[in-house]
Amino acid sequence: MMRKKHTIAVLAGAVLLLVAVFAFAQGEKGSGESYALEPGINRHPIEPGINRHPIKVEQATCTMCHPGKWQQMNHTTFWLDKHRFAAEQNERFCAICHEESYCADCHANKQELKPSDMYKQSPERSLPHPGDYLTQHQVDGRINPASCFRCHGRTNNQSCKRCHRRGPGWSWRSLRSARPCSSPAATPGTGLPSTP
Amino acid sequence: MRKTLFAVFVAAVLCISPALASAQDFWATSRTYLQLRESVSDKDLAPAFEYLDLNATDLWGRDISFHAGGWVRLDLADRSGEDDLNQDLSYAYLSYRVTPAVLVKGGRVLVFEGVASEIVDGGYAAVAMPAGFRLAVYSGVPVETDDDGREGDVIYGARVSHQREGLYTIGLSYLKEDNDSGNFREEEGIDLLVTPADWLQVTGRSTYNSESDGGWMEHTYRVDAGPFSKVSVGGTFSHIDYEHYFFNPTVSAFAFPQINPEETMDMYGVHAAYKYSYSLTASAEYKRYEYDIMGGANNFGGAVDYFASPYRAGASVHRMDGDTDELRYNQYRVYAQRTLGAADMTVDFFDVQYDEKRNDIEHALALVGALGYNFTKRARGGVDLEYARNPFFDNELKVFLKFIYRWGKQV
Repeated sequence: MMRKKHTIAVLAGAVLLLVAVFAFAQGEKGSGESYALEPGINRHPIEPGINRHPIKVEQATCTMCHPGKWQQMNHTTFWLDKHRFAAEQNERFCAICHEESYCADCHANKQELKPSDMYKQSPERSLPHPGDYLTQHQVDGRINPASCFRCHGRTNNQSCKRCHRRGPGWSWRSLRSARPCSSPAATPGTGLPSTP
Repeated sequence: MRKTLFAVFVAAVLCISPALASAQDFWATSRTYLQLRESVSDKDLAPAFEYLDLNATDLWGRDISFHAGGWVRLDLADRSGEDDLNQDLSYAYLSYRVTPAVLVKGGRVLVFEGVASEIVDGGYAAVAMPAGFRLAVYSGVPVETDDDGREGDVIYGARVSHQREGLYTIGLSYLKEDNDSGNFREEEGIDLLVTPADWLQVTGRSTYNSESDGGWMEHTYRVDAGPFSKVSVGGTFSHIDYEHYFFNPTVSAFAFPQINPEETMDMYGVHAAYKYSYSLTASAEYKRYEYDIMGGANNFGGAVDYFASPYRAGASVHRMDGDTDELRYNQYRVYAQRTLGAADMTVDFFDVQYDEKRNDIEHALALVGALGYNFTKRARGGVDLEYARNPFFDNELKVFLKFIYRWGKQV
């Protein structure tokens, strides 16, 4: 039954993709109207003293319109590494453009979908966990586990706990007999290093 | 506990619903997702997610707003396990700006103040004071993954900062957390943001752990300079002491001895970006990781990004060159996107090439095709198809269907 649904969904997706490719080849014939629906982007009034950004920007390059000190707020290639310093100084900087849900997508408790799964339409964003992160997280976790700990040390780790269990007699080898759920980390014989 | 929280949330929404009805601005966003994929044991999985965010401002005719968000997940294919249904309230709070200088929040609050990056069931207040001083305090029950119940759990803390507009902000912060009425965390920190000139910014933080034997958890500092003509440059330094940083985690991945408490990490990095034009940016970065015990590794690479509406495209190449086999690999990525009226489409390709095969796999590949369509300014649909081949899956195909709808005030 599910395989049938799976096949139907794949076919539906393929048809949509074909339509898109056909439309792409036909060139742009749309109205040119800007469609603005993107969850988490804030364009509503804010508290006195700071106004929320009145228009949607295609690239968060503040200095396009606001020279001077705003240039350090430009969302450049390296913004992801830097954003926490700006956020912890004054959350109102973020609130100029972003709703609460935008932060919550990554920072709220027990996030089940990795951010990249929700923002595939924004490939320019340097989001964490791209591609095959099941394999890659073992490497990143070894290189700099502190970068994982900030988000997954005490929260957002329900999915991690499916494999990274604690308790008497726990060892990384117990992963091999763990319940195979959405995570295939229980696959035996991977030859991968132990980074439980 | 979850049912209780959900009941409290529903009761709270009902209580303020008359105010919501009269709110000057009300908007809500529903994001419905359906994933179709297989587990390693060839079991079909079809988790369906509903993420709902609510916002209302100017409640009761005052500068009071309400924000809430949560999700529920039901696996439509596998109803056999204990894990087939899950949900959580991500945040839900009332925010009241008493005066332009005083902000109070209550409920399930996200707190980002110095050492605190927390979710708290409780209260938060921030006060801007004369001469550039600002004080923020918070208190409540921590919202963490918790296997031993929430009784006796409490978290509180504060941050005091001083700002000289346009020049610097420096903050001192403190956090204390008890678990089961016993000491769990106690951290102090200093954070700073200094902008001595428009083209120069220094940011960073140092955090001290008083609950371990006492020691610095982290020193992380960063310099960003530019743009000079079209070039921006910067550098980063980070020192992590594992014994004090990985303290009382709630998942075994970060627990001793899986994490070696004797280890420390120093990371030195430099980065540069060249903005050739509004549309084209090239960047490069280099990071050196050094460990007391584990050796070291170099990571370096570059990327280009092109954007000229309705097109976007980019590519990147990175090399990890470490002392062990698992730390030697190349990463490649190519993406392209096109907006076409109400539709947008994306192709994204990832490849990790290992120097030494892993599970007989030399390349871990992922190819993603994403298609989105804005039916109206309120409704958006999309489908992502992802094919992957990696050390865990010979061939994996994932489907991700999504529908997003926004009520209330038009965006």
